[in-house]
Amino acid sequence: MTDPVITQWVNAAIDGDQEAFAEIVYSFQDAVFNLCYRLLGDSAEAEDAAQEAFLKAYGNLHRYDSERSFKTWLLTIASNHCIDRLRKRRMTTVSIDEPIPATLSLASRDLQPEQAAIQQERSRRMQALLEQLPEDYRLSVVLRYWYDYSYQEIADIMNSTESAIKSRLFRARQMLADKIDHSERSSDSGLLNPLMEGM
Amino acid sequence: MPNEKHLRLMQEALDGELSPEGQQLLTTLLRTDGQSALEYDKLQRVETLLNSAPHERAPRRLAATIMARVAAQMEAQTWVETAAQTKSDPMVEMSKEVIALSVLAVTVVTMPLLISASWMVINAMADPSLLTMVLQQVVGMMLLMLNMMLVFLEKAQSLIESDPLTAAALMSLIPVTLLSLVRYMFVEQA
Repeated sequence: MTDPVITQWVNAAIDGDQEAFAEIVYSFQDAVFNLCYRLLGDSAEAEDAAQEAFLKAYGNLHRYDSERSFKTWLLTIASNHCIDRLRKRRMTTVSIDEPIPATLSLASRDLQPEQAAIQQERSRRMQALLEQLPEDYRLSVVLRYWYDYSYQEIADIMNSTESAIKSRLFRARQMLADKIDHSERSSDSGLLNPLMEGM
Repeated sequence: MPNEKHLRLMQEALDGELSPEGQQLLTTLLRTDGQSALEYDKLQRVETLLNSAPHERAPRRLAATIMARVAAQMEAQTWVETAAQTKSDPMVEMSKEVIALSVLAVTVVTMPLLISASWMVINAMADPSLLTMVLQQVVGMMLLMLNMMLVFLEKAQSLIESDPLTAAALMSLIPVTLLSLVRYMFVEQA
């Protein structure tokens, strides 16, 4: 069930109130952008995909069922859009040794420079790991660990079954564990170390 | 390498869904089987890693860009709706038909003028200077009429948009006025 304030914004936006839709955008822009970024792995493309997802949502607000969570509905639109994009192109895996793109300094908006650098590094390496997973595994992992969705909720978003999501997630965890293990063996610095620091 | 059953046990443990019996089984397994213990340790590290994954925040410009695109989309939609409404308005449709008829009437009335001009040209062929003069006059008149027609059409269009009913009434008077004018010119002069 959605927050009544959001339902109110949705109804006002359907009636053409752009201010109400702006409230929706401000409330969910981080969630949508993060999902797009984690799935697409590129900040500029994620920004573009987030815009498209919001525009799609705006055009389909009348189809939104207020009995469902608005955030879940919005993230379903965003994830479908990103999966479509991923299917249209074969993503080139970002090397973990590549320099940090300037546009990736977004996670650090309110952090001190040192903390921001650590977070960027962590985010970038995490992204490099995620990109080695197949698309549907990646989406399951992102929805589970970044959005705390239950298996059933993920199944609803991905139009799948709970058991399928369970095994997909388990397989994804195993794959990530193997990747990290392999990376640690092949590199002295290790992939996990910068990620695990401060935990 | 742990078998499928042991892996499932580990998965349930990571999800916090393990029963007390399952917990006991897992503890025994991890104590007795080094490979399983290693695998579980790897999975636990992944779990910790994923649970502490940072969230990327949207760029500051994102909301403004989205709202600008929404505004543009709404404007375009309003324009299309207005155009569709105007098109389907029967009064406007009628006014357009009246304009078409008026233009036709004007063309019919000016036809004798064009014919007489052609006749003059043919007769003046023997005199090149006269021919030039006649041609200049005819072209000048035609241009003047075209300009008048354009101004007339612009006025008519703006009138249709503002008041379709008055436009229809006024347009219907044009052929009548032109015919009266022609009759006056030819009948009175005869």
